[in-house]
Amino acid sequence: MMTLALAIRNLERNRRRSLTTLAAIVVGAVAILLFGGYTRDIRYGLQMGFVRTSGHLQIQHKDYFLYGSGDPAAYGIADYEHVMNVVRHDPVLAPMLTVVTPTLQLGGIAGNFDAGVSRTVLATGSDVAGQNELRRWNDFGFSGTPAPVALTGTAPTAAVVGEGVARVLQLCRPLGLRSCAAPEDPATRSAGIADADNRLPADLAALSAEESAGRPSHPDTRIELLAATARGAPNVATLTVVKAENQAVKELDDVYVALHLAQAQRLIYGADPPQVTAIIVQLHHTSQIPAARARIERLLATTLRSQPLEVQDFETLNPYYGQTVGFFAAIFGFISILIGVIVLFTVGNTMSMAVVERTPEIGTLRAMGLRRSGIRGMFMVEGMLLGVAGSLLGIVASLALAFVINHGGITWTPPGRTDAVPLAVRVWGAPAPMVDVMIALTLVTMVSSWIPARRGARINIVAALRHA
Amino acid sequence: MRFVRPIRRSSVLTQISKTYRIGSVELQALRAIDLEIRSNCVTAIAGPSGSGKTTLLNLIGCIDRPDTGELVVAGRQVGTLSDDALSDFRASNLGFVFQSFNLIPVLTAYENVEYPLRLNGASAAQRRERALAMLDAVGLSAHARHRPGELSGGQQQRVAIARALAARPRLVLADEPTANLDSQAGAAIVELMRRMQREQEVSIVICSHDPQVIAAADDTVVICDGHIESVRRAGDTLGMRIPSAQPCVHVAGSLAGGAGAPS
Repeated sequence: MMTLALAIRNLERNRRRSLTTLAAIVVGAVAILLFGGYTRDIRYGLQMGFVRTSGHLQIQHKDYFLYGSGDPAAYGIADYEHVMNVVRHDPVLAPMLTVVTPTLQLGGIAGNFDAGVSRTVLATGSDVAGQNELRRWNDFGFSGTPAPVALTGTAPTAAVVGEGVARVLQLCRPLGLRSCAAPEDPATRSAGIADADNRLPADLAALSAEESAGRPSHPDTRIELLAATARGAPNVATLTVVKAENQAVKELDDVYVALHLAQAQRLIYGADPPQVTAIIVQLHHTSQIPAARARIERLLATTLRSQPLEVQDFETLNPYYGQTVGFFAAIFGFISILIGVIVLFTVGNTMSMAVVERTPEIGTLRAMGLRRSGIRGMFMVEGMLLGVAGSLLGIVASLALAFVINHGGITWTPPGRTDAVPLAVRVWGAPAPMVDVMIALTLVTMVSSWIPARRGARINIVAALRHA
Repeated sequence: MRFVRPIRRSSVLTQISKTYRIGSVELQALRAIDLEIRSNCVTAIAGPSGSGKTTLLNLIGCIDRPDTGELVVAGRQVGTLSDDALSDFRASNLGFVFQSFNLIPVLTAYENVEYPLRLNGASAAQRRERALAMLDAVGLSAHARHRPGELSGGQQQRVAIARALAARPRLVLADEPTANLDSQAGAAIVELMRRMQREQEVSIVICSHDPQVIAAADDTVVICDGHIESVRRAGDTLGMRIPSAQPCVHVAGSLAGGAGAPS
């Protein structure tokens, strides 16, 4: 008790120096907490984006993840409705589930044969209702209501493409895309194009005509999607592009096509029983992944063992998530170490000066019978008090600053997104980082106090008394 | 907490030597000193500057160690004690009064007096009772809440005396306790120490060349160039040789300005 009282009074004694040291700790704590809150917001935002599109887990045909991109149809899940039912109605899984929805991915060639252009694409057929359910997931309390997927309420032949696809297929003008520039010299480009009769092979044109028979014509945004069926034969679907959406990553934006699941299944499987390449499973909370995954694996090994299936989590499916999180974690670690070192030297310097100034006191206390450990403890408690007070004030200051930033109307475009979002730092509601910062800074201040404290404890008593 | 009446034990120095080395220069501060400090007496160590009296006081106070010789302080052989054991020994057996008072500036007068009691593990009630009693004894009850910076030099030295005696030590070491005070305050401090020594039945060793201190002492040790030049014990002046092992016994009413007369 007396050690604590002595420490507090000694800190008060040299108020200006104590406040300067305290300020360094406060600034350090604020920097760590604000940057930590900022990276947390990025992580949550990224996670939300991935979970809203690809779920927490995906049930796939075995090896689809490794080899399926070359031939998705060969890795289809047969009787997928049964698989989904088993998952939905499993008593262990059911409480954890928010959405179970199928998706079919396929590769093909999309062509605007009226314009004489085409390109390879990666198309995804999905259930619109399921996709909209996925989009409602908001475990991290982000503001705003997500817009429904662009295919919502569209005709069965509707499609959404990436802006890159729209650009190559010359759909910018019909789709009213302002950011999409027309080719520099259309005349030159068209010179190399064969006449209109040769734009589409006759058999494919017939297939396309058959597909589009009876559907409302929409010549301006119509494209043909050519793909290989599960049997290896070519098939064509005529789709009406209803919207072009920027996919943020150019490589994806240049190949992205989204269409209704039924349309995609008809294209790949024709009259055969339809399959899907993945069943998306979304959970209430990301923390439920291990338990849900274990349960699904158990089901796949028992009830659903009739076909080789496996489970992948969203981090495996989206390596970009791990890379981005790792990148920010590395920066956060670097900043934390830097701040730790600054605090270490600041507090060390303060305590060294205190030891020099209080040498006669040290001699007096030692003469009176205080052990060396008592002297050490006295200075280390002072360091600890600086650390505790500094980190507490830092927490309060960072909460206040976070409030100002979060309500300041500042926006930015985070990685992996195309739209600006409010700049947010998540400090409030995350007690663990605050406790971590407090413990870490207190430990740093105690470590930095230890060397001066040890030096003070080892001072020769006679020399210390003579120091007055 | 040792709160029994102190056992009268003398301090004995046998062939004590101490040499300081400053670079390549050796300075022999004490040369084979033999001395007995009688218990329950005020012993003054006098001598010119650089004679070795502070070194002698530091050795008796167990805050320095001799190079050679045997040292018994308050009846305890201290030469082989570890640093922690020596600290504990000082806490429970010794009190210190310094020339510059050396009060802890961030503690009040009361807390300064209470501090040695904390070191000895006294309970809160014991600490309070004893600290207030000691402040009362030195006439500073009204200043208990004052910090050293709010007290005069004489008041600070009174607090220091109260602090030195708070834990009922066997021996109090005072290094030039009047040097930083004017003659009036110095005389008051000498009188106070003399009185407290009798009331608390404690041995006091005062290192000083202040004539008031020397006059008030029972025994006076004069040291010069690291040698003991003379030892005058109370009673010598009355023509009565006092065996060194015999403690001082004071006549009631005998105060500063004269040595206590043997019974």
